[in-house]
This record gives sequence, C-alpha cells and structure tokens, in this order.
Amino acid sequence: MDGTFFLDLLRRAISWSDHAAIVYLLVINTSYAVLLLASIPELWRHWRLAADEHLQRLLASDALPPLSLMVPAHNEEVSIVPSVLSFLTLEYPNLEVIVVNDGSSDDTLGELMRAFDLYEVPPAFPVSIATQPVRAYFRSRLHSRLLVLDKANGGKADALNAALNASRHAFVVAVDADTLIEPDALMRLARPFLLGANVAAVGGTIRVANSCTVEFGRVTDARVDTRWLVGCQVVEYLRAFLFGRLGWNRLGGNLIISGAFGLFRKEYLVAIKGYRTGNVTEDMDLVVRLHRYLRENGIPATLPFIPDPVAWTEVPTSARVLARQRERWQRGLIGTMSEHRGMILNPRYGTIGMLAMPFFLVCELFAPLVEVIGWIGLLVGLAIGAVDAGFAGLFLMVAVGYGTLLSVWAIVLEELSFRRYRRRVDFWRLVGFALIEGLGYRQMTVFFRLQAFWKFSRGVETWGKMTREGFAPRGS
Amino acid sequence: MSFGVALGVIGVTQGVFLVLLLLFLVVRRAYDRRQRAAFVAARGNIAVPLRAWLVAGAHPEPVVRAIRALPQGTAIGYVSLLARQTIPAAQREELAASLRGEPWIAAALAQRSSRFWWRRLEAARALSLVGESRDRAAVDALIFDPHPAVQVAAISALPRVADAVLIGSVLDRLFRFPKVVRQYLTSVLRQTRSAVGPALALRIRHGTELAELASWIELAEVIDDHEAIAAALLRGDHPAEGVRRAVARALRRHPGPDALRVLSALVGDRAPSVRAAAARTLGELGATASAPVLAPNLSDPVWLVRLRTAIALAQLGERGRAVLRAARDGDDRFAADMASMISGLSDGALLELADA
Repeated sequence: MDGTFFLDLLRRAISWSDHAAIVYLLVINTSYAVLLLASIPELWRHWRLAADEHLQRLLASDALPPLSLMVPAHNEEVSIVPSVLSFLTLEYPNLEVIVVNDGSSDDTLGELMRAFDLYEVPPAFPVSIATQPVRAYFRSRLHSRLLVLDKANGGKADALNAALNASRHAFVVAVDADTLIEPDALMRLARPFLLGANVAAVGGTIRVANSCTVEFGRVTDARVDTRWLVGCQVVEYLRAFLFGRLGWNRLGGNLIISGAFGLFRKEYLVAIKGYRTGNVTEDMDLVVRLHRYLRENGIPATLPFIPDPVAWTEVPTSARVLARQRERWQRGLIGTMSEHRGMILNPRYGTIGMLAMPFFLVCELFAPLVEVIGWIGLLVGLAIGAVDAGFAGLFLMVAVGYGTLLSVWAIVLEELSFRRYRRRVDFWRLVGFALIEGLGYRQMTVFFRLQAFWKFSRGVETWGKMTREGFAPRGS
Repeated sequence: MSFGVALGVIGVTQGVFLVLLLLFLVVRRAYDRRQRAAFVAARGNIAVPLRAWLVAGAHPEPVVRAIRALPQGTAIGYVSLLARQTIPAAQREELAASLRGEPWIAAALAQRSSRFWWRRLEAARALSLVGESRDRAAVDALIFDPHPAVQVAAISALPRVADAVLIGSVLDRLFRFPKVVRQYLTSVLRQTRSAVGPALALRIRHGTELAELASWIELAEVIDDHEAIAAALLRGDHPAEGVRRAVARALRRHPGPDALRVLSALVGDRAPSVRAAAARTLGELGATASAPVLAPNLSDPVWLVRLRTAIALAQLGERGRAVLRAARDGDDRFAADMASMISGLSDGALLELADA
C-alpha cells in the first residue's frame, strides 16, 4: 500500500460525503419547500380573518378573556419603566401585568418602586409551583393591574414560574421585558380562544426591531437595518415565522412558541409544573412537554401559531453575541430532543412524534454537522481533485441557491399578507439580504451552532451574556 | 441525462424561479400602489353623495353608483359598514331597495351556499343591509354557518328579518356559538329586546339544560330585560353551579330587596365561584347593609372569594371599610393579608381591580 492508495481512499470518502451532504441538503430544503406550500393556505386564512374589520372590532370587545402578562426582569434598570408602561397601556380590556425582579443586582426594583408608587402586600396567592424564595410582593397605588414580585435569582424559567403562581387569570402571556408588543397584538393573540377553538397555547410573530423607530415602547416605523448581520436576521425571522411555523400549523406539529411572546392556558402550564429551570431554551422544552401532556391525557387541544399578532425584539448586532445566542438555541434543541427522545417516531404522539420531532432531529439538530462536513469536504475535495467544478456548482446551488429561493418566497408571503415594511428602500434591502444571506451568514451560524454539541457534551448550562444596544427613541 | 445537463437544468430552473419571484414582487408593489390610489379616490367619491342623501334627503342613487365603482369585495364591505351605522329606518329601507337591484349585490347573495367561507361572508354582509323577510331561511342558515366571521355578519341581518320563530331558533342554540359571536349576538338581540324578552323569560322559567339556562340568564343580564331577570331570580337555588353563578351576576341589573335576599343567600353558597360572584354583585350594587353578611367570607379558604369579598367591602363605603380594618388587625392571617392588600389601593385602582 502506498500514498496513492490512501489519497484515492480519501478522494472516494470526500466524494461520497459530499454526495451525501447534497442529498441531505436537498431533503432539508425540500422539507422547507413543503412547509412553505403548507403555509400558503394558512396565511390566506389568517389574512382574511385579520382583514375583516368588523370581526376585529368585535374581537376587541368584552368577550376577551382576562389575561395575566408575565414579565421576568433581570438587571433591566434602564428600560424597565418604559417597558412596563407600554405593557400597561396595551389595547386589552382585562389585563394584569406581573413583573418579576429576578434577583437583579442593579436598581431594577428601585426604579419600579419610584415610578409606580409600589407598596408591599402580603403574599395572598396560592403557590402551585416551587420557585426560589419570593422576598416580597408589591402592588402599585397608581395601577391596580400591576403586581411586582421581588425574588432571589433563579433564571428566566424560575421567574416565569413565580409569575405563574401569582397570576389570577386563566390565560397567561409570557413576554421578555425588552419585547415591544404591538398595541393590538394581545387581542389578535386571543382570537383562537374567542372563535371557539380548543386551544392550549398560541404563538405570535416576532420581528426584528433594530433600526425601527420606537416611541413610548411602540414600534411606530418598521425599518430594515442596513447592517449585514442584522439584515440577514430580519430575513431569517420572516422565513422562520411566515412559513416555518405557519407550515407546521397546517401539518399540526407546531413545536415552538417563542418565549418572548406566547399565550398559554394556565391550567395546562400548572399541570406540567410550569417552566423547567436549567433548560437554556425553556420555550421549546415547555411546548414539547405541553404536547406530551395533552397527548398522554387525551386532551384534544391544539397549539397554533397565528401570524398577525406581532412583537418586536432586538437581535444581536455583533457576531460574538449572535454566536452565544445561536449556540444556546442549538444546545437547547439538543437537550430537548435528548430529553424527549421517547416521543420521536412514537405513534402515540401523533404528528408531533411522527413528523415534527423527526423533522427537528434530522433537519435542525443535525444540519450544522452535515453542512460543515459538506463544506469542508467540498474545499478539500476541490484542492485534491476529488470533486470537480461542476460538482461544486451543484453543491452551491443546492446549499445556497435553494435556500435563497425560499428566503425570497418568505418576502413574497410578507408582501402578499401583512407588509410591515412600507418603504421601497426597505423592500429592496430585504430582497438584497435574502440574496446574500446564503453566502457567509448561513455558514457562520452553522459554525456557531456546531459549538453547541461540544458544550452539551460537557454539560454546560449557562446562557452567556447577551448585550443589547437598546431602542433609540425617535430623533436621537 | 448527464451530470452537466442536470446541473444546467437545476441552475436554469432556480434562476428562472428567482427572476420570476423578483418580477412578481416588483409588479405586485406597483399594482398595489395603483389599487390603493384608486380605492382612496373611489372612497372619497362616496362622501359627497352620502352626505347629500343622509343630511339633505337626496335620492340614494348617486350613493349606490359611488359604491358600485368600488371593487366588489370593498363595496360589499362598505355596505356592511352602512348596515351598522345609525341611519333613519325609512332612509335605510330606501337605500336597501336601491341596492337590491344591483347585479353585484345579486352576485354576492348568490354565494350564500358557496363552499368557500369568504364568499358566504360576502353574502351575509350584503344581507345585513338588503335582507328582507324572504331571506329568512338564508339568514338562518348563515347564522349557523361553521365559520365565526360568517356567523357575525349574518347576525347583523337579524333585526331586518327576525320573527318569533327565528329568534326562538337563535335562543335555543345560543350557547353553541363561540364566545365572541355570542357577545355580538347579544348586542344585536338588545336591539330587538321587545321580541326577545318574553321568549327569554319563558325559557329561563322552564329551561332544564344547564348550558342553555346559564347562557339565557347571562343574555338577560346583558340585554337588561326586566322580565327575564325577574325570571332568573327564581333560579337562585338551581342545583347547577353555573346557573347560580349566572344568577348572582345577573342580579346586578335588578337592585331591590328580592335581589339582596337571593344574593345574601348566595354569599354562603357551597361553590366558591358563586360566593365570589355574589360578593362582586353586592359590591357593585353598593348594598351597605350586606357588610355583615360579607364579613365572614374574608376568611374563606378560597383566595378568589377573599379577594372579591374584600373589594366588595371596600366598595360599600365606611361600613365595609370598618370590616376591612377589623380584619386587618384580627387574628386570621388570610383575612388580614387580603384586607391590608385592598386597603392600600387608591379609589381609582380599586375601581380598576373591581372591573377586572
């Protein structure tokens, strides 16, 4: 055996792995195309409903169920007061806002005390889920609908559980303190309950707030950020929400309701013991456990996603923060899939077990591994002559071209339905980012996600620091 | 097919698709802009004839002509908007008669049995303004359409076509509607209270089905029909919790010794939701004499009952506040906690919490 033999073997291995990667990418992108096709009738249905002004007015009536808005806050002294004010002034007739100061080391609580004239009240609430100790409960002399909890730090999930304990109403909405909710978003989110659907939870759309004009905690002018990193995320969010989740709606297997904006029936959350602490993507874990509970108890309730209620969030502007976020999301996905592996391909769990979870396992969890193998194989293969330029072109088309087509499709869906970006310049920016997203940005996020396998194997459970720029008020 | 050809086919297909999508986006934007401009202009053209017709009593034909110029879906939407406006009955009939002969209205009405819900919605919207007694069967069918949006639109036509049989049919199936539809139906039924009241009172007096009975009593409360609420008074001892709770809520529309007697009994009900509802109603009625009856419920084992009782006591003025002060200084921790929480609220905050 000489060097030629090994080189030949390497060439064969690389050629084989690249062919496998192409088939895999073809399967992934075709799955997304199926989701896209499935999302079209869903989007049409929701758009018709959202466009019915009369029904919308009725949906804003007293028929709306009372809601408890749960806001975990950790070191939010700069933004907590305007955030809470924006929540208190949402267009919803019967709403209580529960802010949980989760062991902040800054003056979050002090800001709240001063701004809302808080006074301490006894813990007059039934506690159904164990949490870190709650140090005090406060009510506001100015807004009776505001309740503030001050507790020892236990993380976001623990804070949400404390809010869940203190909530009075049958429906709860979990939001992040830095999420900007559109004024009528809660009314839209409650629509399935009002229309008689048997619903356990509802998810709404999250959009990117960077560069948008924000006045008094509201996005008043939607813009697309000019920065490449942020612009690509705008397209990514559109794709994920407009056809990813809507498509799964149609297929009956929605696995994610964003932790930044989701409505839940409280009795089911309490039944599954609320949010699980220690999980870095508590939202996905919660939804999978909810599906599991509903299926195992024969409860025919659904978890739909509806596209028109919108909340805005700030996305990372630096590669370092984006890396932490994507690594954490991937680590959470691995953890959730590993924890609930018994559901995968288990007919007992219906569409979730037979379709959604296998999809997430194959097309989301393993995607970074296969894609990286494919890219490295392609480069090495080109260098040693294992693959030719024609094959490299095919790989690019499948890996990049197909994805670009899907991104442009997401923009088509946005244009046909809600069209938040009114300016022509923003529209062209969206198209531009959709065209370039597949070259560089996608590969970068694949690399970030890859790190999660290593960290998961080492048992890392930290979130990593998420620094934000904050929302600039108009004119600043 | 060789590898090169396959590559070319895929590449060309992707490229063509991409170009087509981009072209579509550009054309769609331009088309939308033109449509929006035309719509704004057409809508502006309605304002003058509409004012002339509504204020100066001019012939409705120019209004009909202006609506006709809108795209059909928008025109039907505008018709349903007019149906919800406060327009004198004679003028409304005049407009309805003029619209009825319009081919686009006839086309919309012909969609009443379409398998697509948005087409049935157009039919229901058209009926909300031009519906006549001959359309009763169509309205009846559309009210019980599987789609809530169609139900809501058809309910708008109810006052135009309703007779005793149709009202009876709607009342008998009231509890089957989704919540938002029931809410809207209630507001429409309020307009036909004189016809609904006796039918409702009869059903409350003799009804046996729990879901139906509770929704009838809730309807009596919302439409504020005296005869029907008086009938509800007699169902305060019904074995079903939902019915007793509905009675406790409805009696806020019926202040008087009879209501206070029933509410005082319901404050001690075995079901916590009924005790809470009765306390809430007593607070809303400002029944100061009920403070001693409410006081023991500050120690109720159920949090919601304690909360509603404390709010009610705070609403009863000095007599209630005295009970809260005594509880705050008392030995019962639950009562003391709730009393101190409610006592700390300002009047505005208390009002807000009472409404929640």
